[in-house]
Amino acid sequence: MFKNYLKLAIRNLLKDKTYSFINIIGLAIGIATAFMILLYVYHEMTYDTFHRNAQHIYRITTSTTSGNGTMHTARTPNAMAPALRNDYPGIVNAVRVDVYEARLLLNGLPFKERLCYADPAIFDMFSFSLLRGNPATALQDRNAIVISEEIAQRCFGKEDPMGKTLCLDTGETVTVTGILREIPERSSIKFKILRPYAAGNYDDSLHGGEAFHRYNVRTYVQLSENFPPSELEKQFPRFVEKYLPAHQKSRNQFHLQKLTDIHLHSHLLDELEPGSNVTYSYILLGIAAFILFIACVNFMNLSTARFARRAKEIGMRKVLGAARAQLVKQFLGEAILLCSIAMVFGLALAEIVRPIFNDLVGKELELFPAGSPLPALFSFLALALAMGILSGVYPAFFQSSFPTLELLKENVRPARSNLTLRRLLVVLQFSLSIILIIGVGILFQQLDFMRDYDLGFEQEHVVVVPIDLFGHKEPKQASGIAGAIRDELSQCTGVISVSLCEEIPGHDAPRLLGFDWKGKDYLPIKQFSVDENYFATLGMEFVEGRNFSEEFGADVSGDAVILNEAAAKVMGWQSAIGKEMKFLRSEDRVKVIGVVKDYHFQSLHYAIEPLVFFFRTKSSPYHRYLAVRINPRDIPSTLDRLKKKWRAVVPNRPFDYFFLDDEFNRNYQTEELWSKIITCAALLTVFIACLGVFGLTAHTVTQRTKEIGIRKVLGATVANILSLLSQDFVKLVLLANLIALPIAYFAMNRWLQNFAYRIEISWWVFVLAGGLALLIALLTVSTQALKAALANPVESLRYE
Amino acid sequence: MIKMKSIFKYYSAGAIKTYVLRDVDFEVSEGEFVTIMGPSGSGKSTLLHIVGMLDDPSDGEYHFLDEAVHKLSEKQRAELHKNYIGFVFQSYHLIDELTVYENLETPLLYKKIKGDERKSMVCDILDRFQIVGKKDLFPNQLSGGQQQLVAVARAVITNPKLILADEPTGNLHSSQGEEIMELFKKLNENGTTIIQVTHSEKNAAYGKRIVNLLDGRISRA
Repeated sequence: MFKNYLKLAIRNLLKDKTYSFINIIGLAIGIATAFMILLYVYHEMTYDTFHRNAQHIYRITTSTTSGNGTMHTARTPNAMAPALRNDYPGIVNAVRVDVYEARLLLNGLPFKERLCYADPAIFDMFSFSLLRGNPATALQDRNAIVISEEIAQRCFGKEDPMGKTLCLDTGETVTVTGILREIPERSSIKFKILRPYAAGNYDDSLHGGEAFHRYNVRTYVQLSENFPPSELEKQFPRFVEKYLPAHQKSRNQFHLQKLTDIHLHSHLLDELEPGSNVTYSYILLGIAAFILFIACVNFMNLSTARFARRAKEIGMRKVLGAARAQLVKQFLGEAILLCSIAMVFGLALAEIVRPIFNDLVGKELELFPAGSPLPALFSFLALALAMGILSGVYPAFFQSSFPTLELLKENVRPARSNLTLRRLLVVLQFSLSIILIIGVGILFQQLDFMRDYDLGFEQEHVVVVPIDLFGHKEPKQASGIAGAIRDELSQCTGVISVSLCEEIPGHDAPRLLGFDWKGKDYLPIKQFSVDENYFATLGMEFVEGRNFSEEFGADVSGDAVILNEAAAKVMGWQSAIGKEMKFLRSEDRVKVIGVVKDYHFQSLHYAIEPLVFFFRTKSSPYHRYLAVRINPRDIPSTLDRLKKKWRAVVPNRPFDYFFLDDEFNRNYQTEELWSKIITCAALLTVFIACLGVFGLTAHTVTQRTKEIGIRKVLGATVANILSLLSQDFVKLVLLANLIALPIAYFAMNRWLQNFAYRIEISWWVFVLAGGLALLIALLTVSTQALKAALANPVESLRYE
Repeated sequence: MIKMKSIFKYYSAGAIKTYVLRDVDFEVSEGEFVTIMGPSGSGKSTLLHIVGMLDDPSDGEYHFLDEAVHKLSEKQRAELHKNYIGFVFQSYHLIDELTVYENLETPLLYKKIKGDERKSMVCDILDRFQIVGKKDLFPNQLSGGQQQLVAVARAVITNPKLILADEPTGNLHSSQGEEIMELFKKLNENGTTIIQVTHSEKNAAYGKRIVNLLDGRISRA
């Protein structure tokens, strides 16, 4: 029996090649999309689960309340880990971790890698492992360094790196004690170089000093089975009382955060790795489910549409004694076969588009992750079966439900209600297509809006060179170098001006300083330091007062500040010049010498916040960036000249630069990624919806062959017939528009709330999307309608 | 074998009932060869379908082999029909996607007959109908007469007690038609009960008894 069904299923597939092709391609695309999305979501949801102890590891977070609201950060006091381990035996391990992107020299070779300082217990708590070396002792020595295989290869070539020494740019000599196994992509802690915490010179003496003032590290704790996180959280107030300095006691609170929640659920300041948002995963899952659903619906539509052609066979089988269950089995079998073929095609397709998708989402996803291909394979097979059953159930029952005599008649017309259902599904598909098209339109509009927005400074033609490497460990050595570079570069042809600064627009400025605010509370305010060229280089305007200058003693000694308009406003000053600001916890005061016009130092997600500029002369070792305004003419040769000058001053450092506008627009990376993903989703949905319309037209044309024949005999033109067949679909797409427009408006309006500066939603996007959907639907319909309209009426009437 | 008493069949369209059969009493004994005749629309096909349990009467009693068909469930009726009745249609109704062999095999599959036995039964019938050479051909590779021959073979392969033939020669040339009628005659001589519907006096002559239908009633001609 099974063989018989299989044979028949294969013959039916081959007999109607167009039908089979459309069905298989539609399903395959649905499957490929769903696979890629599931893979991505799985990847997102399993962050950090590769650690053996993942279920017992928590990160401590800090929230600080002040006059300006509450600030949440991933940083904790440097001395917190040892104190916790000391006080609570339920804490199995506490590890401090600090990671940053470091530019450093190893044996004279320049590297730009993620460098981690961590307590030696990092290997006990986390499942980071070593290819070479003993994890128990690798970080014991202060001069130890663990490096990735890649770095080892660059430094030592084919020689055995273990026990070899590396000379750092700070003058230290360190010994390689381990080779790090590559850290999985799905890790919220990533690094290529690991050094013992002790080597980081963090201030954390437990007694006295600034042990609990300094918030440099992230603290992870591993709790024992009988010490639940809620228990530890209850202890935090006592911990605060015992250790924190007086002024922080009432302001700072600690919380626990599960390690495996960090990637999707944590949006704190100072995260080690950029996190993601779980909403995105849900949206993607929704899109995947919908695309799969639509593919299945089309499968049903096409199957039931083809019913007319198979009615006779079904009828005869009933006459020959087929029970209903047997017929259902037969059609289900066919559906499953089709789905299995589509599955193979879908997998192949997924494998083909994988590199593109990986590029799109910036991940390294694999269809069958090494090590465990079997479960993945089985789940895919199960998916094929489930889809086969899902999409086969309706046609199978529908097709076997007709009375035998009806089936044996020449012209079978399925019940009306069934057509209504199919129309409804087409409406649904088009609604989603229209929503996505509108989404794409508004996403791109907002992105364009943000890119073209007047930020209040001139962001174009500014080359930024990071120079923070000079100041990192031994500031004194570096003093003067930055100034020398500034002087050299400003003499280049094509250079307009050069500035040294601590922060550039587009980066989040540190919010560290607390000022006394109206005598009542304190005001943590964003601040950074700049040289006297900063405002001119970035094309910023002064509202009042003057620029910094080395000629004023107060400027050089750091007693003068410049505010932005927002800061002056929050302080409540009409004119800020000459006003004094008092630091919290000290009697030090600074005097305002100028106010600059508000400009967007952060992305347009945020409203303009109060900002304070401090002055640093060019000889300061603490500058982190060099901003060079260049002439827009002949940029490549200007860059070349800059590079040559750079080499002359600092021969050991690579000339590593970026353009300010590019860097600023990196803030919109998430939006750009999403505009791409939604565009792809929209294209897919439209394509699959077209398949649906194609199937429904095929059905209608079959049903109305006789009618079309009669109309033609009575004198209908091709155009008459075309409009007759299209009318129905025009109505369906219009209905889809009615459903889609409010949903799209609501959803996009909510999305736009993410931006402090946003576009107005314009009506023409909606008209365009609706019109586009209509046009696409009509084109699809006409491919088949035209064929029917052009057919010879004698042919269609012959069998009556 | 068949006992029908005051069978009515009507279709309701709103308040109006259109009668196809009115008060039909119809009996057939085992081994008979009955011909139902009558003009178009007289209800002869409907009567045949009711006999074959493809259609239900609107009213009346029907006993088949002492079973009260009008009281049976759908499933029991399907069982009766599967085991005792073979059908032959005017337009053959072979399954286009199946070869001759597979078409013949299909009713046996639904009767859940084992593979070996099924094979020998199909070979047997291919022999009897002298169509062994055609067994791997598809219906559209056969002439009309050959297709009807296969259809008859398919109807008799399960050894039904009753064969119902709805204008079996309607689409055939006269010589092919004769061949099929001869076949029915032979089957009848071997004990199979046959009821046929036909327009043709010539075909009617093969039967032993003629029932005339006019406007849904049996006319006592």
